[in-house]
Amino acid sequence: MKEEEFGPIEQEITKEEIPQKTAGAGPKSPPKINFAKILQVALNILKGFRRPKIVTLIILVGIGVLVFLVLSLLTVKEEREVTKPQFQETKTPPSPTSDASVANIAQRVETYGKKVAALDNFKKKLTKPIVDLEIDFEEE
Amino acid sequence: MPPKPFIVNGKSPVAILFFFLLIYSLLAMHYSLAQSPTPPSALEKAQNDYNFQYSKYRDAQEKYITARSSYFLFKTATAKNDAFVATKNHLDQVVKLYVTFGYLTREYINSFNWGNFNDQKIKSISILDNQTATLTSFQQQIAATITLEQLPPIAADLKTYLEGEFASKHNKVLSSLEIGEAESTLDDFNSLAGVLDQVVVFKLRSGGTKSILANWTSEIKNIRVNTQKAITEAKNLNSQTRQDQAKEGELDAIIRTTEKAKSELKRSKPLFEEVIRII
Repeated sequence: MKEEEFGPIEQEITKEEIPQKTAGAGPKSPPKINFAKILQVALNILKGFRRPKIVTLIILVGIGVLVFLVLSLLTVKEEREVTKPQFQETKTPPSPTSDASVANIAQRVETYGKKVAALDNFKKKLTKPIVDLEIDFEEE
Repeated sequence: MPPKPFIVNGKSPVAILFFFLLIYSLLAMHYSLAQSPTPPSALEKAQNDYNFQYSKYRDAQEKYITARSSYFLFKTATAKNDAFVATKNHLDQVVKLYVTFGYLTREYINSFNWGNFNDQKIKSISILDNQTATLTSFQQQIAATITLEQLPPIAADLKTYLEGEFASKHNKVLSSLEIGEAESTLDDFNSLAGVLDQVVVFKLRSGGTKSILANWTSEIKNIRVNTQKAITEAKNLNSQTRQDQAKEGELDAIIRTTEKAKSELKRSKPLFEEVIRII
């Protein structure tokens, strides 16, 4: 029997049964955004403008902003992927056999190596500037 | 009658140009934000500020020399006024240069963890604060001058201060920096050596390359002892200097000692790397 062949009361019963089944089936899905409806509303607003130039400009600006937002979102995503976890000093030494702990130690050795290589004479690094303070306006 | 379909006015060249300009500017902004370099550290910023002030000082010095020559040549009121303005600016720039030099020193102080020597860090920053205050008072004196004749005495006072008290206090800060850095690196060395020592012991137990690892342990011990000895000696020398000042010779003696500590610590780098290769 097809759905069109149901009487009005039967159709009501069927409509009531279907959502009950779906509601009990699993967790609630997030509310869906009806893009078609939003687009329709936007178009209706745009139709309110009589001059097509203004409408064109509004659409172009909208597209531009949309492109910018998408690119910004992509950049944020890339940064999250690229950002490495910060190195944290562990108080207790990890198990020597673990690969992760070896990598951690290797990183610490590298950091230490850089620090040691940068050790220098502060007297050379912070030499006082030589300035001319022989200010004299007496006749030579 | 069905509603008219929405049609974008493709005939407007202004709109199309505007669109492309908008897209271009947004893309340019996006990539400039995405690819902007990491912001400079406080130390790099202080170094840049110092370099900038130094270049400004050189300009001011050139203008002072030119104005002075013109004054001796023409002896007019205008030439005298020009000489006054140029000299005042020159002196002001000297003070600014030394103030940024103080900031640069401060950033070197803040660039590492002083560990057990932290009280010296606090003392060093206090010395720098005093120096900045004195330089600011010189700046105020210079700003208050209205005649050319007022400037040479201030310049003489500033010279005396920079070559005397300022230099001695700067020496004291440098000696603290030398010891502080060596001490901080020794702390790092001890921490890392402790971790690696456990790895070495583990390897010795499992019977791998015994002679190399045993030598490694003895070398690390040597470095620790020698560095500690040099730092203790440097601290003793530092304690013999005045509370907030050090003579040039005293600073040199401290540097010679900390150099020993630093060269010992530098020996540890290949040793640590060797263990990493083995494990």
